[in-house]
Amino acid sequence: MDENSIPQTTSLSRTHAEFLEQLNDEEFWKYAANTAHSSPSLDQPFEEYLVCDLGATRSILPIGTLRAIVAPPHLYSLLPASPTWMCGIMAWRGTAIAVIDLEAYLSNTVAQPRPESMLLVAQQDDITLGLLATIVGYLPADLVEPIAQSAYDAVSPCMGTIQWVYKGKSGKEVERREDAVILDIPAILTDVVQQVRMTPSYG
Amino acid sequence: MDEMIPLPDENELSEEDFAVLQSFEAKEDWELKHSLSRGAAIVSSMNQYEDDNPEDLLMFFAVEASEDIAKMRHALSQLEQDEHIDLVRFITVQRAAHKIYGTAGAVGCYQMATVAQYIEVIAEKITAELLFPVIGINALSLALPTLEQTLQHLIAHGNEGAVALTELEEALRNLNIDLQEMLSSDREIVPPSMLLEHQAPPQALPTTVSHDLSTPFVGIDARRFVHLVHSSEQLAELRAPLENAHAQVLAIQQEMRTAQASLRQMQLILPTLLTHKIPVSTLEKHFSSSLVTRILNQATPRSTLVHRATSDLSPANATDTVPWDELELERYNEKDVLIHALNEAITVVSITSARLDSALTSLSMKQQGYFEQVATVRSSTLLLRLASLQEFVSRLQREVMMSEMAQTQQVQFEFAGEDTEVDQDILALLTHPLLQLVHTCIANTSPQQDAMQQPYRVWLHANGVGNEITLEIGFSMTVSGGALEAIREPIQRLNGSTYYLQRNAAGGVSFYLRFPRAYGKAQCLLVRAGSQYLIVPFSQVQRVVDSKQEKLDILYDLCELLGFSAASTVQSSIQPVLILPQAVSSHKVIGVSVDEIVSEIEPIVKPLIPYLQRPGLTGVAIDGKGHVLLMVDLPELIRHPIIPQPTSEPQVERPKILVADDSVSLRQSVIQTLRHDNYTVLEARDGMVALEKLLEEENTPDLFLLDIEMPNLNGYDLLSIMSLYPELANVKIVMLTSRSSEKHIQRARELGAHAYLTKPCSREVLLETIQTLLHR
Repeated sequence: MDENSIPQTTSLSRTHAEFLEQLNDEEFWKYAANTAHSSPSLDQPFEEYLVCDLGATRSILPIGTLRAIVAPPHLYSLLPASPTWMCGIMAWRGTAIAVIDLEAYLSNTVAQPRPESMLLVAQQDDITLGLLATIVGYLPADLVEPIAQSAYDAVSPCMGTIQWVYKGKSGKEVERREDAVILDIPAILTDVVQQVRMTPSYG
Repeated sequence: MDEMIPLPDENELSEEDFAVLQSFEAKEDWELKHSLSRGAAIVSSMNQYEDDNPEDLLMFFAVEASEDIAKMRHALSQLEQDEHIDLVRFITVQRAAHKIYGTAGAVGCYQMATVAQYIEVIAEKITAELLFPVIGINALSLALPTLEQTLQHLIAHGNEGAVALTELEEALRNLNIDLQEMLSSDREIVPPSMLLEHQAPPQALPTTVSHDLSTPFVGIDARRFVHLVHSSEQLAELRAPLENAHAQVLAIQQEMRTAQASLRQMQLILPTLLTHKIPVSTLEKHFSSSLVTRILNQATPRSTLVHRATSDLSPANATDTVPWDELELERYNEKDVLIHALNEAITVVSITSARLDSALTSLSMKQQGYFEQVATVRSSTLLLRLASLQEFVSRLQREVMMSEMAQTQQVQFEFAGEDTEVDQDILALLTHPLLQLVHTCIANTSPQQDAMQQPYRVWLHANGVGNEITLEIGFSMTVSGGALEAIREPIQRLNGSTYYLQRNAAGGVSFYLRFPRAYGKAQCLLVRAGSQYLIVPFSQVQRVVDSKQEKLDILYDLCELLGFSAASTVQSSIQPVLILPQAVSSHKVIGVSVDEIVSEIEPIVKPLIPYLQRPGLTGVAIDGKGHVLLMVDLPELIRHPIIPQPTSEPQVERPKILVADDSVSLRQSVIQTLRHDNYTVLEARDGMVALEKLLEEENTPDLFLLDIEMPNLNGYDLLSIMSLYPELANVKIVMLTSRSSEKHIQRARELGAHAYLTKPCSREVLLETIQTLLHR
């Protein structure tokens, strides 16, 4: 093996580490072999997904699209003529960014952040946005099995439908299929900016 | 018309003009005496109405057209005589032709209007460098006589006669001038009237000047640089004492913790000790005090020593039964030891606490000195960017002295405020617009006949207070309109900037600009509106009053302007109101009420990211606790509230309309039309007079009908100025101009016009537009 191909440092996500820990030796070497021989999957470019509870449905979103996950502030500054699902403006690293209630945005209702919500800071190009969501867990990418990419436009331009499979500790494949909505964060950013920017009516 | 007519001042009325005005007034009195019912719809056209007074209007028009043609003739002769072609002269021709184009159409002289349009387009193409000047002069030399002949025929016979339009067009084609192409590229076909959809002002305002990248190099004053270096060195020297003070605090803090731990341990064993006897050796382990240890040590072998001592006693003391105490005569027991230990521990804690207080005070003082030095370094750095106005003044003086006016009469230039300094980038941003302003003002100014003996004065007065600079550019005579166009956008880019103009003591016009000295910090008031904290620049607040103790002409609520719901707070005894600055000619007291004035603040203001921008919000700052503070622009917010303000009570009086047009004939024609339709009409002959009438408390009109091309202030300038006065926010604005291109319509829309009418405009269209706007 070429020494240069081995990174000197390797970062491992928490859930991935937990997953590896619960494997026995045989499973571990099998997993390693599969990983070594498998080509990078274009369908799953992200290592991990966040599972969020957004009211009636659960949604997952790729962690790779987020800059930070922080505690939300106590107070927001209101922006005049903003959509109802927008909480306000807050300061993040010296810049004022908009914060939206993700659940309210997806259901087009009034923002009502939950006390347990966390602030997910998403960034794309020159757009930085804060998304308030309730995180219920993490999901490694290899446990996420998309149904079909065409399902993306089934629900809304920002969402698709995905199923994920969970493998239990006993080694037997315990298939537990749940339908979760996968969020297209770049599309959400673009849509939010467009709606916030829309010219309100003035007197 | 073969004689050379001296250039008159179009702003002055001749005796004939006054006679015409008197005839109009007499006619109006006659009509009022024999007034008919107003219920019938007005179906007669402008021409029909004009047929009642064709001679008066035509005579009016003929006089004006003669003057304009004379101006064109004079400019053309100067062009032919000059060695170097001055493009400014073509602007004179363009404006005069434009005026004839509009007024000729209004009185039905369409052939004259066509020829005038040709002349205007040719002059416009020359100034835009789309047509060679020499060819343009030849073309004008062909078109101008046609116009003169047509006018002569009109005067002599009352009609235009057979105008050789075809021959003229043929001659122009021989010069490779395709009029059809010129006209189609310049003017799009637009309906004669257009109600402008009211839109919010464009949000694509430049956020800030990227002053960091404007110039790769910045000139630095050597003396200030040395001062900055010195301040930086002092700042660096403060680091070590600061660190030492901090370390000292930490060490004392550690001792404090240790003493507190001992006290805590003592607290734990105290109950046990008081109820049970604890061996002294146990106590010894807990107490580190040397005195206590010594006492305990003495207490332990004392029993042994007592026996030995007793046995060693001399026969004289052999009979004593009290044991000998080596240290004191008193006997120490465990309880006494504990009390002593407790006292010592408390003393240690007290001493340590005092030392900690002292160390903290020392640290605070050093920190204060550090912060002061940081502020000094920052201000020194900002001072490096400041530049004197001298260079700008030199350029301005050159602009004035090399103007056409300076060639024909004596011009004086004055400057005051040599010590005033401005940030180099701000100065670079404003230099060209200010030069353009002065050039526009004096380029086409015609000196008044009686003022020829007096020198024409232009002055620049600069004054700086804190971070605010005020510039006055004054002229001792009437100036050409359109000057504000050059500075409107640059001023908008600078947070906290404003401009206005007024008549000066010399009888002319002065332009006032107020802008920050340097970027970044802005002195503001931190206010609370409902549950939201906002900042308001000092420049927008003249004073703060209690609404219950001062009478206000107009009172707004900041929460309502922003569309916020008012928080249910306890009504305080004082209701603070921010009073907006008053221009000299405005007598209304306008205030914006807030829930609380928190403090004065000098934050660093940054622009909002584009998709968060709103009219009325000029920037954002972050306070020390990380909260976002929005900076508001009160006049803009009043003009464009988030929630429409409730309309005023239904009008029971006749609606009041102000008509502003420098053409007497057209102005009178419109006035008669409006008065015939039962409107109260005011008139203004130029932009400055119109502004003064707008701001007269009792004369604020319901609708403002204005032309674009006017002296002193043109239509665009006037709309820009009106946006600065909140009391004019409800005035409906209708443009009435001969400019019909889309860019002019768009410009008017951006500046707040509600409708756009092109000349010639029929009476029905005019009245219908007005009626629609006033009864929306």
